[in-house]
Amino acid sequence: MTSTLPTGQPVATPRGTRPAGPRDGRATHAPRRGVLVLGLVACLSVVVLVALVSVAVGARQVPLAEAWAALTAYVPGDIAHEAVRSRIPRTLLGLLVGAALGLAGALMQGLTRNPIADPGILGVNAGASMFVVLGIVVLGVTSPAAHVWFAFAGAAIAAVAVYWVASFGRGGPTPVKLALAGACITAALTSVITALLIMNTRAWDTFRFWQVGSVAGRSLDIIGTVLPYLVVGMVVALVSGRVLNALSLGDDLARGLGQHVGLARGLAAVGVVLLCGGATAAAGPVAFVGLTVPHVARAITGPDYRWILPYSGLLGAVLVVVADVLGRIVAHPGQLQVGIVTAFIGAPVFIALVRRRKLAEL
Amino acid sequence: MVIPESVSPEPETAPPTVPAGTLSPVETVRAARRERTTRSRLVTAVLAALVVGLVVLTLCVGAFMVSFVDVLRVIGGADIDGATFVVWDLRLPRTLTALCVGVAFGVSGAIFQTLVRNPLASPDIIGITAGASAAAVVAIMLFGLNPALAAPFAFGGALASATIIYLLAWRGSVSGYRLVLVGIGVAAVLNAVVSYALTRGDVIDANEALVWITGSLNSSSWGRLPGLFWPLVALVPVVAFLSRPLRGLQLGDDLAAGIGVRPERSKLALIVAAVALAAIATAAAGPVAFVAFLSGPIARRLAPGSGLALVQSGLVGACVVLAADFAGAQLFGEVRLPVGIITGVIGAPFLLWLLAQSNRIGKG
Amino acid sequence: MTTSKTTTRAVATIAGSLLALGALAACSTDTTGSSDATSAAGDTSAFPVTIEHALGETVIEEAPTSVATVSWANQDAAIALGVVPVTMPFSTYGGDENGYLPWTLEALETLGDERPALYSDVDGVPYDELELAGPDIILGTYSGMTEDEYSQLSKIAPTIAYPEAAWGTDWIQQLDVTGRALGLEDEAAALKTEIEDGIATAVESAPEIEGKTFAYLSFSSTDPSVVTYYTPADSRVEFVESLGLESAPSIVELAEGNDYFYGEISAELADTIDADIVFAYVDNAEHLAAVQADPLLGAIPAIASGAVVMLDDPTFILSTSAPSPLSIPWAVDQYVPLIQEAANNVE
Repeated sequence: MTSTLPTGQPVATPRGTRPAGPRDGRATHAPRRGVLVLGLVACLSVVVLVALVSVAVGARQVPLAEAWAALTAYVPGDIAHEAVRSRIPRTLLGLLVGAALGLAGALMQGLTRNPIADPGILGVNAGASMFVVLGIVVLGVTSPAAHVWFAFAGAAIAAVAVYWVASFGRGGPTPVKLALAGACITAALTSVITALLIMNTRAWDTFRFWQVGSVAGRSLDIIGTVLPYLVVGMVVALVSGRVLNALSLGDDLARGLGQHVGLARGLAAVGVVLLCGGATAAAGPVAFVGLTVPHVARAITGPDYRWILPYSGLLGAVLVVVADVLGRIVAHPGQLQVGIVTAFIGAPVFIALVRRRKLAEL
Repeated sequence: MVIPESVSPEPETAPPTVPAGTLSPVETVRAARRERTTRSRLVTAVLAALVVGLVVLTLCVGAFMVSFVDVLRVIGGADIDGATFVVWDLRLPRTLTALCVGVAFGVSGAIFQTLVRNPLASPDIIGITAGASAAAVVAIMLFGLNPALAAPFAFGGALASATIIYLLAWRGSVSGYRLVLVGIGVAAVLNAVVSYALTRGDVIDANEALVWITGSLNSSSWGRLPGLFWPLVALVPVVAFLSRPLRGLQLGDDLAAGIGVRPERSKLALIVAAVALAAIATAAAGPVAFVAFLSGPIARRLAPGSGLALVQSGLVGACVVLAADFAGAQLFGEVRLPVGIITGVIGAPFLLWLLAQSNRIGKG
Repeated sequence: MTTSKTTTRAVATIAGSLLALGALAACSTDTTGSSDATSAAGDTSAFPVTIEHALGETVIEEAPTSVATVSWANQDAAIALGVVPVTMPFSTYGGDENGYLPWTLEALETLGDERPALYSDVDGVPYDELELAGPDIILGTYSGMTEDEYSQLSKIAPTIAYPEAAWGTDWIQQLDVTGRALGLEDEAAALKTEIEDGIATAVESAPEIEGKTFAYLSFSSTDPSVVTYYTPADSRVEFVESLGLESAPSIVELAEGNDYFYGEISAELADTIDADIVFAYVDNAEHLAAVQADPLLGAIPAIASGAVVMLDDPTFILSTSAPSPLSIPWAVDQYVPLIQEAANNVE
């Protein structure tokens, strides 16, 4: 439907985003859709594959047959079996966090018509960090399960604040204004965090490890705590495709197409907060996943958000799990946190993006 | 802590003092311009006086009180038991360092903000001080360096990250926005490096690194001052010389080119100067939070319409650093807080306010 | 001039507030550092004494009567020799709410509970407060002071830096240097013997710990998928070795080619940590229970058998990572019974 556009921009034609769009059965687009569905299936199989690799590979070398036995014929107390099974929660969390961040990134980018939206860049991570520090310093919270709630609240508040601040003035929340608002809020919150921690060495000792995003060693409880929010967020994200397509035309056109712009935005924003908040709460700040993944997805699917969103979710899951596995391999017998690995994978993508686009589009 | 509170939002343009009906439009404009110039001079004078006042205050007041007369005698070469050490060896280098760091950050920030035409684009937001922090923290945590010796790493880190940002932002020309966005991206990576380095090692080392990242003047000494002072003295005339084209740049590249300013070359020269200023200041005191960021906007609000306000920005920077260092050392009883904690905690709300303001009036 | 009125007013406010601040500060700062009651009654005939250290040579002309210390352990050597410093740093980490480490406080109490003026070194050494305290010697034998810091301190009083490597001074050297600097050499030698005898007695009273292997580990409640181990080069490991225990072979092997003081190992390999006894940094007893219940961490043999010395207090960390003539006897008193208990659980 939008494949005829030469620019590759996230701009859909009005025809393509008609409510009846996907079902209008124009023959020219059927193969395209078939390809995309196939691609989605391929992505799904890659997700399964990396998940299996993540369970099979770790500091302890366990033969594949033995690893399989750990799943099918588990002997409690057998250290090899335990090692393999200990990789299951982190793999699950990696999949969840990756999918959530990928979807959140796509949502943010569509919602703000901003190719560089990301929870790290837009200050959401800093908000979560700030509240976790408040929890540690003011209330003496040290258990990771309790950090979740603080991170969640902080992420939500920061997301709203950044968007609100950036939406003042001419042109509404432009990409540059959002990025600057995010960077500024990050800087401001970092200062306050430092002030809280500099006199409290014990709290600092807890925080410095939390602030490097990681999926390792998180218990199933934590996953259970954030799961409902992530699932709701994912559902919201996946049904937002049409709305984002309409929004990408600009508010006036979207309104003309019969979208309740305000309501649609609000709903998608709730999705962003649930996804970012939940992911950061469970894993700590993981940067650049939300930024990178939607662009890769867009390169595959073209500008239709109904496809970008599911692809982003799956590719995000792949990226985080792969980053976690890489971290285990490069730092053997220790490990490198996911947040570090994704920063190094994601940053070049970010910079390439900024270089590629013309100023007017930013 | 006093300064931001006292900044009241000024009307963006000075209202004409003479009823417009009695003068020709040209005369009205001239009158307004005259008034701005007068105001600008007045603000400069008041800021300079404030700097002098703060210098005197920081030299006299502290755990060890020294009278103003004794301060003058010590500077004149007298050897007074105790006072000579405290004033000459401790406070004078510290105060001068604060002054130079403030001026350097203030001018550097103002240049960036003017070049990019966005009050939020200062070296501490767009990744230059993040480069300094990353290099210093890696040296402290991974190589066991004493934080007091981190200066060369910080200097190198700032220059390296600035170079990387500039090269990555270069596409035949450097657009201000691309520079900012690339800078934010590079800063995000560097912050990941800092986070990681802070987890490597004992909490006590991590705490020292944290103090460094915050910015502190406690390691100021006569021995270290020249490394800050002479580059600053060398850069000030350069910046002054380049500030005429900068005046043009504020009009926008097209217009600037129209009046004979070559934007690319001027921009590059100015960016180099601004980066050098930020780098020497960071090497001397660490990335003292928000000084580069705050000084320009405060200066422009105090003296609206006076153009670049580089002189005023430098003076505001000096005031902020001097006052914050004094406050950190004196106002919290037994505890002495590093200067960056004070500027950070005061700067944070001001920054958010400024963010809302600047977007509201459509400068984004 | 209409528009500048606001500015003028603003500036007046700023100036006014600053003056007020100045006055406040003037009032509040005069109260510090007035205690000058201590005097070191050293052997005056030994002076002048010259002490060589990594940053130069320091000549002490006559027996010091008021001592200042920098960094977090140097007060202990002086206090152990019966000399209460006029000023010393506030211990943010491991100290009580008044800034005292427990062993320092105990020793001060036995010396008649005279209290030094404590200064805050969050932002580095506050030289003016030291100057105000008017010491005639500054002790920094256990420190990492830079040339700059040394030269500033030397202007206040003769300053002793670390003998060879920054942070590389053990408690015996601290005692020795401090004894010479204060003219209390004989006392220092006697005290050294006394402490060594104390350690020996404590160790003898616990024959079950002799020759046991150990690993010094740190567990994180944020991320139980890795374990941090301290290498034999670390001072807290050296301390445990001095009690007659041996580093576990697996730790020695891991530490090979690692010139850092610690390393990380994945919890998946936890069962390879073959120590009789594990010294475990944990948040609290609850955290230790979680470690024991963890299917991987619980596979560390010593964790499984309960041969664990639980260290859940930063004070423990300090007592052996900043070893001083006061902290070592304190640590021995605290550690030996714990190690004994753990040794009884070795299978």
